[in-house]
Amino acid sequence: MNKNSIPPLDYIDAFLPVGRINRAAVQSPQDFSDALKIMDQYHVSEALIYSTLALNDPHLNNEVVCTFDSPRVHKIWAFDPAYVIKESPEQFLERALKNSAKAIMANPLMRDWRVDRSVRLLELAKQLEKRKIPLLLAHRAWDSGQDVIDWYRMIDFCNQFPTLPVITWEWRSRANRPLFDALSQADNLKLILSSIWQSQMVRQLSEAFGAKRLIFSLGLPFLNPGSFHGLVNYAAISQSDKQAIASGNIRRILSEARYE
Amino acid sequence: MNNPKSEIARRFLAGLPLDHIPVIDFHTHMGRSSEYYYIPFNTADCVTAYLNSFGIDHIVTFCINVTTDVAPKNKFVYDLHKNNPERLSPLTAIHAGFPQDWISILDQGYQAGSRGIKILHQYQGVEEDVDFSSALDYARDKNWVALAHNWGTPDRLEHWARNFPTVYFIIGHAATMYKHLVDKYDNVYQCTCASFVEGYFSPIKDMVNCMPVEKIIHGSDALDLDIATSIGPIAFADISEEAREKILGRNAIQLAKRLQRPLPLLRNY
Repeated sequence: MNKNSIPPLDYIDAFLPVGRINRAAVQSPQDFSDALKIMDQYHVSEALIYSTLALNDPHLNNEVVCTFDSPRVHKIWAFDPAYVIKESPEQFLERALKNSAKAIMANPLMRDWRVDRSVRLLELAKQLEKRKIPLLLAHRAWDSGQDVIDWYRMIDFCNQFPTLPVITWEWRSRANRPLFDALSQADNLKLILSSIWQSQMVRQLSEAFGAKRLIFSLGLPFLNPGSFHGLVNYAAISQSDKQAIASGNIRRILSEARYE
Repeated sequence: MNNPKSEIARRFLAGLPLDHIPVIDFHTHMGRSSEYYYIPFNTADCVTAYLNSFGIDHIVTFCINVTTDVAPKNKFVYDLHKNNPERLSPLTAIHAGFPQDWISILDQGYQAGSRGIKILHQYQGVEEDVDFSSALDYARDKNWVALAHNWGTPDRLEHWARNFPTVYFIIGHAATMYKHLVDKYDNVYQCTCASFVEGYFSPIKDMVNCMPVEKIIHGSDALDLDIATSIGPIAFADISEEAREKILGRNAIQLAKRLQRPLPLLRNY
């Protein structure tokens, strides 16, 4: 096939924020209508969407995303692991599903709780695994962002729930040696692409661990949204692997989840 | 969805090489490993294929991770240049903590075909007030550039630019804080490197709005950062196609001509 005749990739942003945040990119959506415009402008057909409030106030995120309504948008609900909260993780998940949540996120840097030791998160993960509903672990503290994921701890967590799709995000995953170790030891671990800035890592990760490990995002709220399409479509991998990263992987995860 | 009007954006979205225009990358690193990471596909053949996929004609490059001995790291880059001078021009990295080494290191670079000096003192455990005069004095009659990760305060960069008018100073990462110097001094240029990290570096449009577009040159930071992260923000920036073409390559070609050392290109454009 002539390279000029290859159809453009279909992109889904699996982690699109709405709202203000420190050090945001100029175009980062401030409200829901901004988000839809950004999706159009940057060739994103669908998105999993959250409020930036989710990074420090999960309850408010869940109120805000309930107001987002478009067939192109899937809601991410956020979970608070605080032990003293009376609503059980099971009750929380029921409520999230009643409100059409398609993925649950938690921020382990809110602050310094451990995914492998949090009583509530472990219980939630058990419930999510039963339904194969994806868990997004978005690591963000307002004053740090690079290499904040403890990949060896992530291995242990993923191995406790081997059929749970665990998707990680941080501003920048620069240290690749522990990342390689984690991917080699946890088959259910997946990465949001915009955390990976290094040259030719899409090819490297696809060859070593399979393209199914990478999930596209525009990189907002912090990174220029025109940057990450090229990591996929210039990568020296097959066209089918490119399409998997651009949208196929997240579509499959969502299609395998049992939301009823 | 919006279809891009820009041919550069159209090609970028399709993953096609920008082989309709000259593309120069003025900020790249070569090496096998750094403290941060293992570097995938670092051989000459892999790098050439990687450049070809984007349609990059030529790169200006230097070693990665200059926290230890720079000489063997520089040699890795010189060897790449020796085997493929059409595609790579080297700069010579110095370690700011060891000024006693600078002249011999720069001499080795000169013999190996270096085009200038790479400064990265923020990673080298030294104070901001390093006196680079002896290194810049070495460079002054060689048509060299000096590219720094961060020049520090505008006053410091102005001091160097004024006192070494035959050395061409490249501001290594996307910024607007030196805009008055880019405007005032013929020998000060602004690189776009890492502009996609908007909370820390300046977006493309901000730079175009506040300094002469002819002084802005493209840089990616590959093999640290993926080349897509440098081309994408230029491709999608709300600027003219002519400005995109200048930034991506034509400005660097003009700079090389001013240095009387033209950059080889893959074709006639």
